[in-house]
Amino acid sequence: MSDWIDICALGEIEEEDVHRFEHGGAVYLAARDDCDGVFVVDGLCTHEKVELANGFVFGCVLECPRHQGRFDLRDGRPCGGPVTEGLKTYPTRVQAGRVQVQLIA
Amino acid sequence: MIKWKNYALRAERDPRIENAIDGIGWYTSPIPRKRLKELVRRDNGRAARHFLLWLALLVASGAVAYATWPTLWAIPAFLVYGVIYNSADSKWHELSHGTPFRSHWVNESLYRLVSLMTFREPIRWRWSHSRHHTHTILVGHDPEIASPRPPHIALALLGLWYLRGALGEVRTTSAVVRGRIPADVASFVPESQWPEMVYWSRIFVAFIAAIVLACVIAGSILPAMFVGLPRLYGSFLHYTQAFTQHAGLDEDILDHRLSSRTVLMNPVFRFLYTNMNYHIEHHMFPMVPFYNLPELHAEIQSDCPAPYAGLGATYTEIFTTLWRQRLDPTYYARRVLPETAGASGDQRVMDPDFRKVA
Ligand code: FES
Repeated sequence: MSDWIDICALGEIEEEDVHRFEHGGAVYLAARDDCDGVFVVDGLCTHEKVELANGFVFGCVLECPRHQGRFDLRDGRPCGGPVTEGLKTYPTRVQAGRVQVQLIA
Repeated sequence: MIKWKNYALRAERDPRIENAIDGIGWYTSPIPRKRLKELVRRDNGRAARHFLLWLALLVASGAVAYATWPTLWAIPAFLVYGVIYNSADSKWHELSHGTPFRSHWVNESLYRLVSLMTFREPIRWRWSHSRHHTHTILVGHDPEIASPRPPHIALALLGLWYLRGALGEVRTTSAVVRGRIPADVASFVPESQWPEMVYWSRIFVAFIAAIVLACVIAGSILPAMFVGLPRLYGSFLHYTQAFTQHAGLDEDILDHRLSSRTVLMNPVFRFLYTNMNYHIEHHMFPMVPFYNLPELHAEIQSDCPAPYAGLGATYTEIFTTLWRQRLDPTYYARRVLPETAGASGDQRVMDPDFRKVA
């Protein structure tokens, strides 16, 4: 099992918003839903590789800024066209007010 | 007919253009993320009020039209009904983006309804419109260029009665229902979506057959006057509004301020057109629901060309531009950015192949 990686303080991510970070040359997003859920997902849309950091969260759905493709943050599954492929999600926890993730290859 | 660029859709996406979009990117006006977050918020109440009012007007005008049939009063009554019916096209557009309602299932349910009303098969058109947003007026890549150069003015006029669109729909749908996907459609709808596209195309054909059957049973054209035919006899206002979006403006440039128009319209027209007159704003920030576009317009106005004062001013420019483009396809209406506006930079996508004279 890989190590937990520290990303940011929970308070740095607004409710229904995202926080972009890079690790190992890849882009990720830490996102908060509307009821205290925190999730880490890949940072590029599976449709046209657009930066999802420019998108927004509605409830527990992350919406892509280019075509409004939708992903469920809880499992990354697509839940609104035109995306057809899910987003990769990563084990995430909040420890002493810090958001941490396991970026399993 | 003078030939200039080849507007046919390319089978493959051009890596040079993709690199330009990923690298230079589409120009976006500066707006604080906090403010944008307020503007992208969806509001079930505001959306519901708009859609319920529209449906109420549709039913009321339909009732008047029914009551006046078959007198001469039915002509103006059906014209009013047809104009309200064709407002479905701009509502289709909003719903395809999934932005009016916070509850996504409501967006999707209404999307299927207005898709049927407007004969826009929901799968193909969603993918087509996505491509239009990726490649807005990039020749050979955008499937929704309404006014290629040099313009075919007679064809453009046919659009007033949806005849141009209808012919395209008949051609494409008759192939898709048989499982034959035309090359242009295959270039923007991924193969994984083809079965659903074929399925929905067949539903559409069954829907049209049901309208025809209803007319046969009723022994009258009246059922089709309510569903189907309004797309033809009532589309003139929607088409007049929608043709302003890009016609006569620059192309192959990654800056919506130069290739799209924002036109000020009266509240009735804006209601019927679902605020799509704020077209620069919509293209730049398509996540913003239609009811927040006036606010977004105010927010970024100083970074955009002056909006057109109305349809009159817009069509003065469109007519003179298209007339000149008949002989000189290099000509286009240049939009002037305010001096304080963000520079467009090197946002022109120049593919030398497009410039070849065929
Ligand atoms: S790029 Fe994300 S939905 Fe198209």
